[in-house]
Amino acid sequence: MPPDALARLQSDLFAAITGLPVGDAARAVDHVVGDARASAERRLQVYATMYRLRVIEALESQFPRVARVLGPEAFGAAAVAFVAEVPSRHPSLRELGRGFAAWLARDGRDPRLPALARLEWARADVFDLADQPVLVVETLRVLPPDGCAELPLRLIDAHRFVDADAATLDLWRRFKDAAGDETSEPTAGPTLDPIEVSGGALVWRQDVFVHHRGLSALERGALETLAAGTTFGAVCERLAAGRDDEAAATQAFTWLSSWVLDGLLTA
Amino acid sequence: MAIPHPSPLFPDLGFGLGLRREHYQHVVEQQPAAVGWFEIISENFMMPGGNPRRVLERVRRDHPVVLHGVSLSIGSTEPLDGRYLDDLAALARDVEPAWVSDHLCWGTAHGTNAHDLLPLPYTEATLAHVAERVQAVQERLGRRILLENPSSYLSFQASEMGEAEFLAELARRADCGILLDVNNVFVSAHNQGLDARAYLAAIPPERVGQIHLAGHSADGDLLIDTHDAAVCDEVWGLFAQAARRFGARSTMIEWDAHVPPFEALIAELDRARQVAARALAEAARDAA
Repeated sequence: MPPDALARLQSDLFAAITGLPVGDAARAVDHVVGDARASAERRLQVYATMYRLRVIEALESQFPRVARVLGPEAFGAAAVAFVAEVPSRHPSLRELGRGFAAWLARDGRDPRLPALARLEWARADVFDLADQPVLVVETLRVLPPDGCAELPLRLIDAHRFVDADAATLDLWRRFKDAAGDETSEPTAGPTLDPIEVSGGALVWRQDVFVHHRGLSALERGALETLAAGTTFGAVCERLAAGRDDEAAATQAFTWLSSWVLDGLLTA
Repeated sequence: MAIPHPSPLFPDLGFGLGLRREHYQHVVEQQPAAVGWFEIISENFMMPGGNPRRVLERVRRDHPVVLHGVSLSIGSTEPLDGRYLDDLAALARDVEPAWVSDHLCWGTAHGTNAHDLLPLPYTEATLAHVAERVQAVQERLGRRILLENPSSYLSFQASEMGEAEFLAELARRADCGILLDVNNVFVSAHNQGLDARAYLAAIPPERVGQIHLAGHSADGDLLIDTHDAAVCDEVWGLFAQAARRFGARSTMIEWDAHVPPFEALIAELDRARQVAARALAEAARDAA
């Protein structure tokens, strides 16, 4: 076997299995032994089928609600079309879906899907980011009365801001029933107030659980400041600009309380 | 037949299981003593934190762990992925596994990844190519690795030798170990009309550090390595022959799809213990 023959064989086989234009797919069959049990074509087809099923299964696990909206056949077709345009270039299948939301936006097959996919990817993305110590209520309780303003705050790394509207969050939620169990079809339920989602959505991990919720534009601005690291006093000042001081302070303390309880802050 | 010896290269950890997401909670809460060690899929833990790493840290406190990769692509003509190797080395430093393994296969071409364990043509040129890469990986990781025989559904016109002969010579040249997947031997032998027992006879016992057992399924005339069922009787029989030839080797059950309750895996593991004990006793009796 000449030195470059292995590379040519692999390119041809890869093309036949994945459909990617990296070799001569038609020539692949010439490399393979066929026999009475199975022809060379049939043997290659086993690998091609497994490849197709593998990418569909991986993407379905990363985008379960997009898959349910589309249904098995349409989702399978979308997954195969996606990897034909955006093939995996990472050793882990875990990364396969990174470009899926952007591809759905370009593809335009359903206007509801890109934001839903962004939300699902963000949820998968924060799942295994690094753990950090989080600020706990006890820390706040022992602060001196004037110590809160200088309290250094930073949003945990395991968070993502997602551009999604109320309809997207509603769609995500409707795949759960009243008991909180996953459903295959969307259920009916109250719709979110669009104002509560004017800043998109926040996705984060608390302990081993991934959460998301809508953000007002005001809260998103405050949280984006926290992502770079700041103090609670600076958050209050930002909030007070053009507003009543007392109302701003009340809002800031309400947020601080919920951020701490949600495990969103690290010192 | 002589009494089989322990591996001079790899410790015998006893009987273990693949650590799978479906059983994280059970394993963390129960720390099951019936499992001697756990194998993890390296790529599933190459991240900085989160639940998988928490589970791994907890499991590692009480059990030996070995790393088993699926993306080394040791047989590819693409350059080795330096970043992947750095991540693997970092994981190995954190986990301190008993050993690191991957597959005798390739899965990448032109910068893209099929996420499959594709077979190689077994030629002298391929042997030289793979041996050089195994040595490079071992130098990078600072440890001897094991390579697993893949399950395969095709063979190549260009092959000049059998897979077992290739693997044996590769292990000798590159000074690496062999992870013998008995189910893969059975599946590949069936699919290609080969003699599974002759395959085992061609594998050098001193290079075998670990054994995999798993279930498979049928697709027409071909067997597919699906890891979604109990080990079948024919594979238990082949495992008994492997135990007689290779001796006590770290052995584990792989079950990755339609994963059953943990108790079912323990039952499979108990059967592996019984089959191995019987085979070793027979080998000792034959040698006496």
